[in-house]
Amino acid sequence: MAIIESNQLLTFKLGSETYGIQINKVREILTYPVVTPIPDASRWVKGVINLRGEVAPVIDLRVRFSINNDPLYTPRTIIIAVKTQDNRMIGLVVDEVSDMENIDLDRLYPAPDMGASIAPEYLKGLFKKDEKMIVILDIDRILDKDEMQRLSRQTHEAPHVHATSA
Amino acid sequence: MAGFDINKYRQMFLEEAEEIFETIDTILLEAEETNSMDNETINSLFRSVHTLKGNSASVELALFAALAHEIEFFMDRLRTGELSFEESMAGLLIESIDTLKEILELELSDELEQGYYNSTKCALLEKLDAFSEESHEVQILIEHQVEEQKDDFGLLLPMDEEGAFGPISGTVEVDAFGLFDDEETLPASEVSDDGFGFFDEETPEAVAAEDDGFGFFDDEIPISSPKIEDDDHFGFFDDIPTSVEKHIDEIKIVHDDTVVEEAKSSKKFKPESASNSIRVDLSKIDGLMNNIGELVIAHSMLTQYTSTMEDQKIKSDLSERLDLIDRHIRELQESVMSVRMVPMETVFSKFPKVIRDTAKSLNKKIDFRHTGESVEIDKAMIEGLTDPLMHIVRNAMDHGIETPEVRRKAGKHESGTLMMSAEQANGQMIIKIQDDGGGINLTRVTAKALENGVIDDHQASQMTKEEKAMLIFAPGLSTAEAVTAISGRGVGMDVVMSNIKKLGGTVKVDTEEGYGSTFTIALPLTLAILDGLTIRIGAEQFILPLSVIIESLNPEAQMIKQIGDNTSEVLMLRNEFIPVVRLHTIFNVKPDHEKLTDGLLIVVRSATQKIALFVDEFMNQQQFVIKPLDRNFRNAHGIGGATVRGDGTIGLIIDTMNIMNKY
Repeated sequence: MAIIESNQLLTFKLGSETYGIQINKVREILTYPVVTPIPDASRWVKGVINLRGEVAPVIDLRVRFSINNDPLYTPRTIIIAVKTQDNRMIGLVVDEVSDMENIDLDRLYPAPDMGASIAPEYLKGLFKKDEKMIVILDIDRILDKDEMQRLSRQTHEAPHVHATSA
Repeated sequence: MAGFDINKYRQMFLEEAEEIFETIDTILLEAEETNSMDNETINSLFRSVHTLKGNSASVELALFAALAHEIEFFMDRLRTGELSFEESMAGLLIESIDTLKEILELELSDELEQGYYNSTKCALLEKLDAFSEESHEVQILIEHQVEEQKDDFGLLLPMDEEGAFGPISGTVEVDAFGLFDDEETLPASEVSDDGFGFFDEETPEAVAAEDDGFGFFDDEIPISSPKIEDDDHFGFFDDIPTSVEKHIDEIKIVHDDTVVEEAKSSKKFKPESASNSIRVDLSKIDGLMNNIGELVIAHSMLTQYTSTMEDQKIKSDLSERLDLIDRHIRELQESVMSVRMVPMETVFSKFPKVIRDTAKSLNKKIDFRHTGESVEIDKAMIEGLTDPLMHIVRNAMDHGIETPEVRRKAGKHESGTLMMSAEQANGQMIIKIQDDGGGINLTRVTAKALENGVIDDHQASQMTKEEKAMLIFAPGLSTAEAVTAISGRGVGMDVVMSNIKKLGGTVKVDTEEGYGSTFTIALPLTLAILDGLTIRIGAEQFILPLSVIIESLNPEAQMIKQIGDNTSEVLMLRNEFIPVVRLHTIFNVKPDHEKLTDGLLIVVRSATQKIALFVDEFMNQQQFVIKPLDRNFRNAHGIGGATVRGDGTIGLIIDTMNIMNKY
């Protein structure tokens, strides 16, 4: 069974590292539009935008994976619009879009299970390109609806739990 | 009564069935792939098949319904955990569904032979039963099935004196063809009882004996068959008597396969191809709306650009044309909107037939009345509304309205009345289903709920009558003693509730033992458009549905009172005390004004009371196209949905019901 359905990647930068997602998930690359914030949302949910008529949430991957917890947003900030397996449109904020890469499936390393700020279940694997490492994200897993709801509830309710126990 | 055109209903059923089959297939294929099936999946499968069964019975597809019943039965055992999911089960279920499709097709086109049906059904049942641990159940099941089949025939054979259903009833014709194929030895007299008076005297065998054997009925029709083989046999039989008015001297010539086809084609059900309406997926209409939205945005950008032009001549020419485009866009938008709206008649028209048939099979007399058929409703709601209404109606007929004898004894009119009404009130659609039957036996419902662990003793003792009546919506609760083809497995009322909630509506039930029950369903008028008022809090704008707004005011200092520790403020308005909700604290935005007297208070309707929302300013009032927010994400507190604004940004719509829950 192929772990990766498409071997073309769109690579982008989060902080200093290069990450990749399968090109067939990508719908559009756009600059930062007017984002309507959602009250009470987690910090990594910047709000919602209109993506081809759909109300799409904008998620800052840098905040989501604690790569940069206080990023700046300018009209030049890049959003990659992706479509998930279950046909939801979601915007991902990244630092910069780098390139397209063809990857060789044989040279894909499994993600190490250690101290990474991104848990290994969110990764499809690592890929070595010359001396660079490309971290291949499992976008369907990261953007899974239940997962997102669970996480946003956790971060949302965490202080509440404290308040009651104190 | 001129008779219903059953084909019209069959057409509706067929369209629906196709959709359901598609859903089932998707679920099953997925189950096969993943080799697992969770409870929710099983439940949804079960409901799908349940719907197929119920609806097919109502369009007199008895054989199909009986088979669907068996599959439903099997799924019920899966659902209740009597059987557990095994790898090969998905495959078998797919096979069962395929068989079901085949039977549907054959029964619709009247090509279903009883023999074939029986063998198919038994083969399927055997396979299904291979999963049950005790093999002797197979026998029981098959017996049970045979008996039930009789039942079905009993129930569904046209007994109407006028026999309006005769010609098109699948059941009857299956019999007729059974005779033709000389596989069944039903006495002719029995058939005549069913309306087949005109029948060739010669038995098919006799006809078959002769090479060119022709049997005649009232008219001689030479058969111009090019080639007649030795074993060809010809049987003639006329249309059944009740349809004589229509084709009085039409004689069916049955010859070999080809002629059988032709001869029957005039009579058999054909899916309408040249109908005046088309079924369009709502998502396509939504797509159209989105495109128009984009057009509006592009238009406003162009308008803005034009206003910055220097050349006055070009500027005014361009503006004129842009105005024209603007008008066309508006018209386009209106027509797309109107595509979604249909009169309630569409919903009501599905009932007389079902009610008539159900009443007949239950031996009850039911008088169905309805009002408000011209009230318009969003098409998207109809799809979700028909099922729950059907369930309520079936339940009312099955459990609500009593038999004529019981009614007579109770001093009521022999025939029960079922009243359905639709009206618009307070920006809502109110649909009522009222019966004058026996009402809901609250003691029994409560006992059942206790037994099923839906409530405990303490709760039971605390419950009001209304709350007890609402228990019928709890999952797995049915007070019916027997599982019938009409209702009674305890699926249904919980589905009613969840379907109505899905549409953003509520259901209420009022019941008086001995006098009947009234179900009141309140729904938003449309799922798509909302009249809203844009309000501003600091830098953020939100949309408030116009329908909840009662009034707005700039409060005077003496109108604001505080309760306890200054955090609970109330607005004293005339004779009322209305709690004040500061929207900026809920939505966590920085407002322009902190003092209530500097801003505005909007008094709105909430779930049980009025509340006053504190905002900085109102903006304009306009129509918005509602888009769900939780499709992509969880719903935010106090937000009911989203919309794309004229400038392409997203606006959030405030849900006043939700806001109160925090308080």
